[in-house]
Formats: sequence, structure tokens, C-alpha cells
Amino acid sequence: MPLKDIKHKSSVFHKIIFTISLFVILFIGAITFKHINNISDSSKLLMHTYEVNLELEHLFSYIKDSENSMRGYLISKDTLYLEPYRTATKNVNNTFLQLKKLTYDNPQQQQNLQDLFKIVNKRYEYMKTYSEQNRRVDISRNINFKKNFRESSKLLVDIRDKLNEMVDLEETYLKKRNSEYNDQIYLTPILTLGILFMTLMLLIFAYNQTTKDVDKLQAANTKLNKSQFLSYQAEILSHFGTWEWNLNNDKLIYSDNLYRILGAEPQSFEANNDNFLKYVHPDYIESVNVIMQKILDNEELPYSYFKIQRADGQTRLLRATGKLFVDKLGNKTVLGVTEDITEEHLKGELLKSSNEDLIKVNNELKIFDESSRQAEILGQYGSWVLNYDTLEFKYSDNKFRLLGCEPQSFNPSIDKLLEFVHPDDRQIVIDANESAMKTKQIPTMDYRIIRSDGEIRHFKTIAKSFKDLSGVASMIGTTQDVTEDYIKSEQLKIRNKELEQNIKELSEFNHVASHDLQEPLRKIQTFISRINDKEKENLSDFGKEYLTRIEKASNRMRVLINDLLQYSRTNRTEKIFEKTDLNEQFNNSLLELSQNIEDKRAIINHNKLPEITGISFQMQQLFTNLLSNSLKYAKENVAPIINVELSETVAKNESRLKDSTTKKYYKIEFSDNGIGFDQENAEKIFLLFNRLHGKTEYQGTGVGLAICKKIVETHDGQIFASSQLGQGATFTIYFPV
Amino acid sequence: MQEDYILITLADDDEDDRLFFTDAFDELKINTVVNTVKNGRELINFLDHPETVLPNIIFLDLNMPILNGIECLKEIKLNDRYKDIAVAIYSTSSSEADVENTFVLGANIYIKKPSNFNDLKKILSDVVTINWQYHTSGLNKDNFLLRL
Repeated sequence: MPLKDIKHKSSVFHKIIFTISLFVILFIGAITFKHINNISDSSKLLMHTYEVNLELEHLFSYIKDSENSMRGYLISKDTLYLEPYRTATKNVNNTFLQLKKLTYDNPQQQQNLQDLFKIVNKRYEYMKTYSEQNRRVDISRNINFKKNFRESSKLLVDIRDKLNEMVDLEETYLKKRNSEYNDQIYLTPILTLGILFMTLMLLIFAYNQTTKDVDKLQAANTKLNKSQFLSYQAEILSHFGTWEWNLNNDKLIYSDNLYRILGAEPQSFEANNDNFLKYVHPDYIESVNVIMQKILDNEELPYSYFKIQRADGQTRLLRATGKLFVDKLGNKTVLGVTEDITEEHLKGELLKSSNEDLIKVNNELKIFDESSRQAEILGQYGSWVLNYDTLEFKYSDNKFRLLGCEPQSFNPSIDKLLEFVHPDDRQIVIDANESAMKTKQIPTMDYRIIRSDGEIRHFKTIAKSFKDLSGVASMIGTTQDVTEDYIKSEQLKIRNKELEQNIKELSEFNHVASHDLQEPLRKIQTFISRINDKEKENLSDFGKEYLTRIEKASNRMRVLINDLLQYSRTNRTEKIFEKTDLNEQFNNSLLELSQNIEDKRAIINHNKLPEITGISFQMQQLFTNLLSNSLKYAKENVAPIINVELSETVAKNESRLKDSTTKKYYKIEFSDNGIGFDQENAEKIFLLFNRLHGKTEYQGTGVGLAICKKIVETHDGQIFASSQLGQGATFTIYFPV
Repeated sequence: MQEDYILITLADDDEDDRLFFTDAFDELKINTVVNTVKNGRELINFLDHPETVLPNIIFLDLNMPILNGIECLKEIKLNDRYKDIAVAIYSTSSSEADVENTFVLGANIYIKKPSNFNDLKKILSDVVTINWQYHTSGLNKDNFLLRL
């Protein structure tokens, strides 16, 4: 506002000064002009006076000339003298005309001139008579002539007087005019100087005033620049941009920061409503259009809110407002501010929601607090907080109970805690405390305490550093009484050790069975073969018979040992599951049993088998055992026929699987035409060392099918046997697909 | 004369097995000179002895006192002088672990002691008449364990 004042005042002031100076100069100029005119008039008058004087002199001299000539004529009577007389007379006439002309504006001089003319005429009258008389008479004797001559001479004096009178008159004029002229000459420089001086003064004053105004303007300009710079910074800092909408020519100007708010480079596009609308969030285009119309209608903009979508996809909430500004030229411009209030809005929302949430959270906290109190008691644990700044400890009620004390019965501290800790475990707690102070973390601690009633309890503590919302750093820990768990785990450890011992012993037994038992047996068998080869002929029939029985018994023992080993190996060996082509394993089995199959003239038919994920050598073992089982229990004198069939099925269709889901299974059936067995023994035959027949009838250890069951179960499958005595048997295997 | 004979050394602590071994070669119609020692240490001492003419094939039992077959095999393979002698493992067990171990350590063939004298004769005759060069070059885990 003061800026505008200064500007206004100064311009009016200047105008006044310039008007005044203009008038003064014009005025002075006019005066000066008049003066100079006067001077020139005066000088003209002066000249005039001189001219009149000069003419008067001429007149007198012409009269004299005519006089002289006349005299000459009179004396000499020579007419030659009459020529100059005529010329002088002519000149006198001319001079009179001249004088008449010169003095036409001066009545007094005219009068004088007329008087003079009369006298001169008179004089010429006289001279005329001379010349005529001269021709006829002798002048020197003529009294009339003498009288006339005297008269004429007297007239010449009159002319002289008249002329002098006129010259005197002119002289007075001259004097008067001269003094007037001198006055004028004296005044003119003073006036001119005065004008110059006045003008100079005015100029100095105006210059002074202008300089002052320019200084003021410069100061104002600097101020304006500064405030513009500040507002530029303020725009960036406060996330607002300004705009001007000239309603007269509908032109828009956006500030740099308004472009930034829109997520664009400053002045990167022409400021107009269509371009602006490109940035407006699709949901708000309608309402922004309404806002723009409002600006045009009301020539102002109350607070309006809308959302924009930046090129990078960010959605921002904006608030805009504007007011009409009319400048001196009457231009209507709406000046507006558009502000990005996304952050404020979020904060506001957060605050609003957090207030509502606070009550809810508070309630939940209370519930949680109570439930954790109960949980502490049930779970035999207590919690504690260590404030890093104050080194204060806080224990929950149950933490006191765990130490055998009443809740909050003492001020917890590390020293106080150490009093409870078992002397052998104090170092653990001291180390943990140091670690907490240095690295703000502690490892999981296991230590014993001696409760106030003297009982030793096992504690486990875990803790973590934590910074609460107010920025206070602390360590929050939970300590649990794990005495029961500890005792249980100690018992378990002992059990485990026993079990490990058992397993070790078992594997040692396996070793004994595989090596130490086999070795003597092998030797026995070798010796038997030696005797059979070398000494058989030397034996009696009894001896031979006994030797045969020894051989059989030792063979059986070998089979038993081998089967046992195989069975235990099924358990022990590393189980590497891999893609296994059952066809390959089946063919391996056929190869392994080829001699047996050939001996029995068995016919084996089989479908293409699937590929499963399994332990390949176990698959081969499974097939070998099943096939050899069928071969072994073939009907006497009937060539065994074994059919292997594959089909796919789902669990719920197979009642034996006792599974009602739709899990898919491969179903492989081994059916033979052997002696079969009673269905009631269908489960028994898979038990270890279980035999349905005397060992003399059918060789077997009762291990083979037990191994089969084990292998199938290892592969998440199931195996079943179904048969009727004398009707052949069917073994069905299910493998999950 | 030595070049016509195949020199064979057996290291086995079991007296009976040594007997079967020598008997088997006695009955085989192959020109062999069989020498037996009672454990791995004795075998190494024998091989190290400067006057010993190195055997063509060493038969090595695994389960022996003092220096067992595995340790003995390692020592043989570390010695530049006799690391190239063919080594046949001659054991009661044919456990996967033993077969695997000895194969890795560089044994040439693995024989499980048979429980029949005729089988023994056959297997020993097979081993001795193997073209070693051919066998060793094509040696893999599948043909390492010699089956009857």
C-alpha cells in the first residue's frame, strides 16, 4: 500500500511542477519577445531620426547649392550657372517629398515641414525673380533687386532657423528615444538571465525530486524482488503455487511451483484450462469444470478441493482459492493460490483415525494385559523391561513369583537378580548384562536360580531391544521357568542315549550276523564241499546221509542269515528316492530269477509298468521277492503262470485302502496259479518269520513277504494278499501316483 | 622261470581260508606261485623287503588284525614301487560300504569268498586269467564286484 501511495503522489507532484515551469517559461518567453520587439522598434525610431536629420541637412545644402548657383548666375550672367540651380531645385523638391514621407506619422514635424516648404517656396520665388530681372536689368543698380536680395538672404536665415528647429525637435525625439532604447537594452539581459535562472532552479528542483522518487522506486523494487523471491521459496516449501486468470482476455499464468505440484517441469506447457484438466484426477474433472465456471461467474473462488493425478501415477489432493483483483486500467484478474494438501490431509486423517483407534487399542491393550497376566501364570513366565537411559528394571508380577517372592516386593536391579542366580551361573547373567549394554542384544540365556524357598529352578531368558513411540530405548525380555521342560528334556536325553546304544548294539549284531556268523558257516560249507569232493567215497552210507543233512542244515542257516541281513538292510540303508522306471527293475528281477524261471518253466506275463519316485534297488527286491514267492509256492507238476497287471485307480474305489479321498494310485496285481492259502491268513503271511507251511515242504524263512511289506510301506503304498486254498494267490500293490 | 609263473600273495588272518586258497591253486592247472601272509603289516613288510620279487596279484582280506585290508590298500597305493600291482579284495562280506570304499581307494576287483570249494576254484581261476590291462581300463563300479 505505501508503494502505491508514493507512486501516486510523486506523479501528481511532477505534473504540477512541469505545468508551472511550462507556464513560467512561456510567460517569460512572451515578455522577452516583447522586449526584443521594443528594442528593435526603438532602434528603428533612432534610425528614423537620423534619416530625418540627414534629409534636413540635405535640404539645406540643396538650398544653399541653388543659392550659390543663383549667385554665380547673377554675378556672371552666365546661364551656365543656371543648370546646377535647376538640379538643386529638383533635389530640394525630392528632399521635401522624402521628408514628407519620413515624417508622415509626426504631425508636429509635418507642420514644421509645411512651414519650411512655404519659406523655401518664398525663397525660390525670390530667386526666380532674380534670374528674370538679371536678364533685363542690372542688379547692382536696381533697388528692388537689392531689397529682394536682402529679403531673400533673410529668408535663408529663416530656413536655417526652421531647419534648426526641426533638427532640435528631432534631437529631442532622439534623446527621448535613445533613453528609451537604453532602458530596453538594460532590461533585456536581466530578464533573460532571470528566465535562465528560474528555469535552472525549476530543473534542479525537478531533478532533485525525480532522483528522490527514483531512489524510492528502486528501494520499492528491491523490496518487491525480495518478496517475490521469498514467495517463490515459500511456494516450494509450503507446496503451493499461484495463478493469475485475466478475465478480460482469458489468459492464464501459472507460477513455477504450480507446475511442480502438477508433477511437471516449470512452464513446460501452456497455461490454460484444457491443459490443466489433463492433470485432474478422472473422478474430479466434473467438479473442476464447475469450479472454473464459478470463477468466471462470481469472479472469485472460495476454498475448493479436488484431486489430481500426476504423470508418475501419484494422486494428490489440492486446495485452491482466488480473489478478484482490478488494476488501475480496469483489468479484471482473478489471483489464486493452489495448495498441495495431501500430506496435511493424511496427517489429519491419521489423527482422526488414531483418536478413534486409541480408545479401541486401549481397550484391546487392557484385555491383552489381563490375558498376558494370566498367560504368565499359566506358562510360568515373567516379563521385564530394562530402560537403557535410566538403567531401571521393571518386573511383571509373575517375574517376582517365579523368584518365589511377592509381586513388586523389591526394586529389581541386576545386582538383586544376581543374588538369586545360582553361583555357578552368575557369569552367564553378568556376560549377558554387559552384552546388553554394549550391543543392545543378548543371546538366549539358560541359567539356574535359587528361589527364595531354596529350590533350584531352571530359567530361560530371551530379550530384544525395543524403541517405544516416544523414542525411549529399552530391552524387553521374557524369562520362563523351564524347570519341568528341563527335567523332561534331561530324561529324553537319557532315553535317546539308551536308544542310540540299542541301535548301535543292533548294528553291531548285524555286523556279527553278516561277518562273524557267516564266516564259520562259510567255512563249514566249504569243508563240506571238500569232503563231498574228496572223501565222499570213503564214507559209509550213514556218513553220506549225515553229510547231506549237515549240508542242508548249513544251507538253510545261510538262507536265514542272508534274509535277515536283507531285512535289516531294508531298514538301514540310505533312502534315496529318485525317478524309477518299474519296467527296468522288473526286468532286472526276471534276469535275477532267470535260472529259477527256466527250471520251473514258468510263464510270466506283464503289462507296461509306470515310472514312480522310489528307491530303485528296493523295487527290484520287491519284484524278485514276489515272483520268487509265486515260483516257490507253485502247484507240483503245474507250470507256474504269473500275470502282472497295472491299472490306475482312486482311493475311494478301493475299500482296502480305507481312504475315501480321490487320491490317485497305481494298482499292480501279481496273480499266480499256485497253491494259494486260506484267506484268513492273508495278513499273517506278511509277518516276519511267519510260515504257513513246514520247511521241509517249501523252503522259506518267512522273511521275503515281510520285506515286501516293508518296501511298499516305505513308498507310501500298501500291499494286500488274497487267495483261496488251491486257487492261486493275488498280491495287490498300491503306489501313490 | 619266474616269467612263466604268476606270482600271487594273499593276506588273510584266517588259517582255514589260507588253506582253501592254497589248496584251490594247487588243484588249478595254472602256473602260479602262491605266498601267504597273516595280516596287512606282514604284507607291507614282505613287499618292502628288498629281496622280494613283487607279486603280480595281491589278494587282500579286509577283516584282519594289526593292519586291516583298507589301511593296507591305502599304503600299497601310496608306494610308488608297488602301487601298480593288481589288488583283488577277498572278503567274507560284500557290504555296499566295503565295496564302495575299496573301489574308491583303487582296488581292481572285489571277490566275495564263496562257500563252496568248487566255486572258489572257479573264481580264483577267473581272477588270475583276467586280462588285467583290459579289465583295469574298463573298470567301473558295475564290473568291480566279480560275480559268479
